Amino acid sequence: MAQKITRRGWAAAITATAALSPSLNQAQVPVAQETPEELLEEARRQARRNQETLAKVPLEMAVEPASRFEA
Amino acid sequence: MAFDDSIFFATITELNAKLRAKEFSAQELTKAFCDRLEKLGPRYNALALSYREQAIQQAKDVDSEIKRERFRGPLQGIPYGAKDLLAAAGGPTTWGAKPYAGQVFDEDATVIRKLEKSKAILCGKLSMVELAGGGGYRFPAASLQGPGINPWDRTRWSGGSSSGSGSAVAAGLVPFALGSETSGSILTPAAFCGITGLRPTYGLVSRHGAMALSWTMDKIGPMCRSAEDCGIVLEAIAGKDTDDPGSAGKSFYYRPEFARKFADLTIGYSPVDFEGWADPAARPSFAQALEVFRGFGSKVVEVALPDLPYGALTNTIITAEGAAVFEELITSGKVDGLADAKQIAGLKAGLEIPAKDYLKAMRIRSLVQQEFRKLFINVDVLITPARAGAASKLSDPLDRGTPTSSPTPASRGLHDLIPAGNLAGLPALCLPCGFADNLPVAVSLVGRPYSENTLLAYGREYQNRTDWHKRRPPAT
Repeated sequence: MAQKITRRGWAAAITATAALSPSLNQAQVPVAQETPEELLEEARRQARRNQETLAKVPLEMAVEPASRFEA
Repeated sequence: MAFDDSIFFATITELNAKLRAKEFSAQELTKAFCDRLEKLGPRYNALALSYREQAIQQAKDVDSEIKRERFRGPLQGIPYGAKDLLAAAGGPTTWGAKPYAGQVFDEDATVIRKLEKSKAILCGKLSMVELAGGGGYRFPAASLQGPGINPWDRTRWSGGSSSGSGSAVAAGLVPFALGSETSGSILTPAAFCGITGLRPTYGLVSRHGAMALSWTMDKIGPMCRSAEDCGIVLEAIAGKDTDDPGSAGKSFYYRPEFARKFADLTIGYSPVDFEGWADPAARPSFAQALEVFRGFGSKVVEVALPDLPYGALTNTIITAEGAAVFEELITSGKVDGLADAKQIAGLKAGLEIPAKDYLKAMRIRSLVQQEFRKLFINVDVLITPARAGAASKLSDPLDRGTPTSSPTPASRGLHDLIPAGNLAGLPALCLPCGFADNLPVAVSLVGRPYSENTLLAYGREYQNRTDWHKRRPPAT
């Protein structure tokens, strides 16, 4: 469904965004205190914590992964 | 035509009645909302892209129909905004993220098409947290348009990820908006902005043409001024769609008059949600709301969620599916163009989640669903604070928790109902119920799959008895 944007479309998009976003509201994303590498390590640690938490739930073999997504 | 401010805060039903009575034309109404959206939208970082020209053209067609007394239903001629996660032909669909700033689709999302068929008028795309927050973000500024600003207090966040939808409805920039929820993205901005939001049952509303974050958890729903408006919009957007593999193939008809009597229903709640988990400043409003619901004549019983790791489950499932969705973005390095450094790291780490962990999470999800089926044998509706308190400050990191002087409660209650309800695909309705420190707070109702009419009947009755949903933010 996606298509490449034309140069005209690109220009329109940029103009629209620029016109509608005054500098007042362009709050900078606060600079993370951690480096990207440290953030990646923290994200990995979070995944491991999740894994450890899930490991504590007893599961019988017959429990299959959810294949319908409404209860 | 100069409109009184009250028009910008009128409900869909009120606006449609005035259009049919020819108090003003659809073109006049659309122009007025487009002006307001373009003027005030940037004040709240709510507007991604104006659709003024297309909107006015659509409004002309509506006027022509109304002139010939061809009435199409309650949404005919009603302006609205759509979260920029939904494809709309004719302009960029950015998903709130810089790497997709120039992305254009050549067809509309199914929900946009359905609203067009109902003759609602798309006035603009509304801002959102980049990639609907996939990977996990630290700051509200994680968005192409900047942080979602709350119309009730510009130092506060509007909530996410449907940030612009929440603030635009609250500030009277559109009569209603479409948002999406994977785990909290409709309920949170609705609660923080003081509007009514409905998260439909998984599969009831087509997601064709919407950005995917989690194929098994994404839902699209209305964000409005009232429960009744949510019912009207849901009826228009729900229904079978063969283009959405998750479509349940069910329709929805908003029929509050046929809802079961409240006296025949049972409401479940947990005192610890209202007295322990809730922010102390919000407790009086939550307690008052519970009292109003007690007055409906329903049986009210105490319940609690089973002890399952809802947070770890949603985190694992959404991160794993989100990383799969955005694999090309991540491996190409374009992910580094996102605004939030934590989110970038979260998406990268998501690619490393082992299949066994994802499958384990999905197996435990089966247990969550079983537990809800048991819970709903004896209870029809659950009620809990939608969020524990009011909107956080724009500068607050979102992953550090809110500092509180209250001790952590010993029991869970329904505290994790947002992740739990999303894992089970349950519908939820967020209702404004008062203020804490001059900021809106809200309760949410959660029911069985496809029980939207029951939730909406409760919501409508609650809003007949209170006026929190009619409050307007200052200086809008």
